[in-house]
Amino acid sequence: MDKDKAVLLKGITKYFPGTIANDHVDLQVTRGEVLALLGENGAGKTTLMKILYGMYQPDEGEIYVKGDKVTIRSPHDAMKLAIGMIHQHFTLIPVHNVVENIILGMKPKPGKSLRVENVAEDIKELGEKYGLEVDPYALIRQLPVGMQQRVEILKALYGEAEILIMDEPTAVLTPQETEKLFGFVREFTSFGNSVIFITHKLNEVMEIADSVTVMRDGKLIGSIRKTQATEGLLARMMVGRELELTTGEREKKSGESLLYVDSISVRGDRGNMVLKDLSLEVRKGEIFGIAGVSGNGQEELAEAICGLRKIEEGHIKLENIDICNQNSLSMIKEGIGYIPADRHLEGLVLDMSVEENLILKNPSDPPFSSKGILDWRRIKKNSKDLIRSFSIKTPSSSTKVKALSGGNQQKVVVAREIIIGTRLLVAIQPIRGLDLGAADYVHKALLEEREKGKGILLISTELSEVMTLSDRIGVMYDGKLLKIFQREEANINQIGLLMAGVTGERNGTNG
Amino acid sequence: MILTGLLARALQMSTPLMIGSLAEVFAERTGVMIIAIEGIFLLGAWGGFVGAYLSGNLFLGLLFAMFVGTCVAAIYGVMTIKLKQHQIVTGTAINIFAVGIGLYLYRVLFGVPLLPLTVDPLRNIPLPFLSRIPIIGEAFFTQNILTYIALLLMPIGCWILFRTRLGLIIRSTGENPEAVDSAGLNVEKVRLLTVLAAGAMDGLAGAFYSIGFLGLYTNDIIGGRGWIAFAICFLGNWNPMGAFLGALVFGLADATAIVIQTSGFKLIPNEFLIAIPYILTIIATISRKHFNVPAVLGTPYIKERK
Repeated sequence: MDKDKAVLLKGITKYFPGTIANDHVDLQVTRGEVLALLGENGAGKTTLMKILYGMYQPDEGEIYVKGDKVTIRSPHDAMKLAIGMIHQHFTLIPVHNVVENIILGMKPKPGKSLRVENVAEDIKELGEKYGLEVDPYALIRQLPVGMQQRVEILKALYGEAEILIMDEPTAVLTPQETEKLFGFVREFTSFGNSVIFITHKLNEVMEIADSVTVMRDGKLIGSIRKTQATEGLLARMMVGRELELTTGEREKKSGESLLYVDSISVRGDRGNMVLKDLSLEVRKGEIFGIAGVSGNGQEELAEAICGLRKIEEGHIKLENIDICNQNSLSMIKEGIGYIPADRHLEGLVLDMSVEENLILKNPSDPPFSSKGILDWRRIKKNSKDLIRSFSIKTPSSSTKVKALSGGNQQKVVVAREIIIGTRLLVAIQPIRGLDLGAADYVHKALLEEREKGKGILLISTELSEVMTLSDRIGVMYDGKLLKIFQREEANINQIGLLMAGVTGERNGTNG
Repeated sequence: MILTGLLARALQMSTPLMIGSLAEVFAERTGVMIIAIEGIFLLGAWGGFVGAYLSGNLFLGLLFAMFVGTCVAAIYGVMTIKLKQHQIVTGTAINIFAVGIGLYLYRVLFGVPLLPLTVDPLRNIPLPFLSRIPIIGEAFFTQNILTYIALLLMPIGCWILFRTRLGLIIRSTGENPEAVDSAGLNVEKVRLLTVLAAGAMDGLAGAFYSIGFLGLYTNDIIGGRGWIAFAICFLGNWNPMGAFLGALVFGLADATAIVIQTSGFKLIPNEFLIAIPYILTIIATISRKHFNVPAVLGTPYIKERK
């Protein structure tokens, strides 16, 4: 076996109830290189990497690390083989500080104690070496996401990882933070270490990878050197067919004012003000996009508009009628549709059927019921109509929603909210976790509603999504709208800086 | 004289509550509520009495109580941690089961005696010098061995939880088991071992009621005090020192009620005094702003979840 191969996976297969998450997948990582593991959501990338990191056990297949055949039964085994993983959802403990998070699970090495002071020193040194400075005594919950990711990386580095798995690390970062992360990746691999970079973004692959492995539906599609790859080729491998993506080209047709948010202040779950004196306007026939790193008050803004969160100060007007601090039911009656960020948490009852979920928010409205008795004939008809017009793939209208794929679940939410939202649609991350086809469908549906003259407030952390769809773009940071751009004048660099809270013209640094 | 008696009794009554609530703090910090605590207390009391009566040795009685406590905790732990059963349902079942099995095994061993069987309870050990201090000497330093152990356990528990690697692992397990897993530790093992240790402590606490001062076993000997230890964990904000204070408050209320009952003082109804700590618990719960409640308390950890 070649010692140059940091990792070699052969024929890895993993079954989950009802599906094959990985179907005989091979993968190879060379020392000193970055391998991009490319695929859509649900392609099985994370599962494969969790197998390498010992969190899942493969049902078939072999793993070689540095030429030796190994069995990795737990992350503990993986760490002994110098494999570290940065999870997409950070595995940090919010109420503990940085040092406590890093020493969790570490055993004292001979001649090195695990005293908090010593470890804090080591963390500082490591941070300076790689440009990942962080205060060792800060509580995780007080750190912004970008910093939390640093802690995750430091944790792996402190465990002396030589093979670093990063699962969609840029999803929570601003463009500038991403640049910095790429800088780290280059430096880390220049010492002969390896990085496996999980992503579904083609531009990132082209920028950072040395070679690319593409997965689709749990299967290996192919591995190529970056030098032989083009974005078009990778896209075809990833999606498996030609896709004509929404370009968002359209004629300008914003009408009169629809929603007017007048300097509102709103408290977050912890009681602190998360929206501070925020104003914005959405016009009829307009998509107003809000860009920003998650956790800057976007969800609270949507909740305030939809009657789910109390407004401390300020007003919200819908066509000049004050709708401030009414309950969510009256907002539904006003014609405001709400596509929440987490469809499982807020959008659907997974154990209920498609038809029930489609009337979840207005079951007492005619024609669905009269005098409190549900009219199943009408509910089924409504459901069949929507299944057809939104091409929801489901065996029947009485199938439980949890049996549907993520994309079709989201279509159920979107269909219901478009029907409810006769005047305004508030959508947060409407394509989170969807494959390209389903995502494009949702985008087309939003654009169609815009054509009909509805106002749409689109909140997303995916800058490209906001830039493609919006007529105007506001950048949100720390509970404020820092700037509003017209579609034509939007500039990715400037928006990126604003997302990091840098308001000066291109002279700031972040981090 | 009355004050000395009151304080001595208060410390005595709070002893098992300290041990039990400390055990609960540790278990809950890993994310497991020991709902079976009332049953473990009861079977601990049973084990303590049976062990002491049959062997004629109180120390062996205490050991047997800890063994019984560990066994019951093992059943509870395997059911909830390994088999992922619902903690409240499992715990309630064990509590009901404990009442029946305790009485049954008592009768299997001893039949139905006309007079309750007794053993000599633990003797008080006056500490040299300290016990001579007026008023508090007799109250605080003339107690039985379990009280001294409990008083030592509280700061030790605090130290383990907040100053050691083990404590960090325990606290992390209740906050984010995924982080513990990905740090290469075994979440189920951490939880199970903690629950077993807590079971031993709960058994010891239960034995205090049977052989700690009464010297006999009846089926209603615990009378909800396991639940009080459970509540003290909450009241003490999942902190050993908070649990210590909570246990003292309940112990003092218990003792005051007993002293007033025996002294014939009629101005305040006895029941009111007994109710005070519960009222305090409710007030403390409502008025507290910041809870240390472990983030995943009550939730089993399922490793390969898709």
